[in-house]
Amino acid sequence: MKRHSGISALQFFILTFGLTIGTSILVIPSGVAHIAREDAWIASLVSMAINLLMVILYIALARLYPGQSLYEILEAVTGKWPGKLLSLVYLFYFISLVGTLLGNLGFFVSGEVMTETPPEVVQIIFLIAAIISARKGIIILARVGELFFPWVVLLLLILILALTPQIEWNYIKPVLEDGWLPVLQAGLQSSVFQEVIVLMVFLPLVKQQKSRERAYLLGTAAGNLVLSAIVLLSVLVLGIEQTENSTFPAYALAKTINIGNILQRVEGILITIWILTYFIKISVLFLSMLQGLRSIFGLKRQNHLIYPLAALFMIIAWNTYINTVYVNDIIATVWMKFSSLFLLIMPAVLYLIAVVRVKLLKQEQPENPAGSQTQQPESQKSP
Amino acid sequence: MNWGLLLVISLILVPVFETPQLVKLHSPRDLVVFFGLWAVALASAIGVTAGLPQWRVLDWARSFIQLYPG
Repeated sequence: MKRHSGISALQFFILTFGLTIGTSILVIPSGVAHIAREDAWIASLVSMAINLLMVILYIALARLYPGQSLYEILEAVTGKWPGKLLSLVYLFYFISLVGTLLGNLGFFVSGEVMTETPPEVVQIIFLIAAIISARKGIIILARVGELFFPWVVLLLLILILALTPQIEWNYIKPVLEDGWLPVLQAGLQSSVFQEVIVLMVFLPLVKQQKSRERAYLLGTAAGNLVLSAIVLLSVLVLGIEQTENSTFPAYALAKTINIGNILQRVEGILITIWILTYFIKISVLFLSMLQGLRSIFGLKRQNHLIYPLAALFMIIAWNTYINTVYVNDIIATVWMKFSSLFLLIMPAVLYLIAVVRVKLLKQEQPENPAGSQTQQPESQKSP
Repeated sequence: MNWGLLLVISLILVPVFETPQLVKLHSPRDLVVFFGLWAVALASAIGVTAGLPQWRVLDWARSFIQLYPG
């Protein structure tokens, strides 16, 4: 029976799309509107451009070390031990990300949707789903993504079409009243919430180079376009003040849908889109951390690390999302600088070193050391 | 409900299921990494249950960024 150890370009596109939308769909509009005001929609397009530049940088880096994942590239570029240390630093970034995302999930569901349910219950239930996904592996997750994708697109279309009758074009005027600076600032700030670098861990799983690069770029572009559409609709329907002051403007946006008093209270649509893409994001992060631990310590298997890691996620979530004021303060003052270190600065420095090593010094590129790392364990291969 | 206690109990059960498979794997490295990670998780869960100061990764990130102002 034929065994598959890779994923298709389409599946990779869907994973990128899901990772890009993830939590951003709920929180991005308020942050962008706070800085760029009426020009929030332009800022979200700037954010898309920055994200695409990031992906081009990642692709350029991956081309220098074909067939290798992020962790292997880190070791190949900086040497064995510095590479392992850098991989651990990336794992710290990913674990803080997962903790914050889980905290956000509990806060949103308990605060807005199921107000009687403790956030811990929501987080535990969701983490169980992520554990199952991590046990099954990236290939199964990619197939689940394929099943989710048409529904996500359909629900997005319903959401966007149902909102169009309420559009008030005056809400985005005047355009660029304060110039480009706030727009660029807001664009840069929101571009660090998509974290598409995580997918460099799974990039080698797509066999054809051109298709995987196209899927990576198109997935990022499509996800960011959806985010831009949500930002634009938030401003056009809710107005700038409500978008800026809501914790979850996209949710408030979905609640305004009312077509002839027949189609109303359809915020469930937004919650479904969010939960499906959020599941992809958490699962991809979980799997990338497992791959990272496997690569750093040279392990034979990774599945036995799932439960202790999941427990750490929970503990970090409980201690990260203490309250909205704390998290908003961190997002405003720390997160952009901290994230851009991992998403932009380190990959750029790595790329420069890699170019010098590979192109100028003509050093041999190591053979894919762990064809290992990008291979799936037996339990994750599927017939 | 004390969620930390639930986490501690779940974590105590994890080696019961995982150790036999790890022993079969004949990889001391896998065993050491598993028990290392498990010990960190268990210690943190006990800390949560006991109400001790906890991992605040975002504060660590803030401290790191404050090292490089501007």
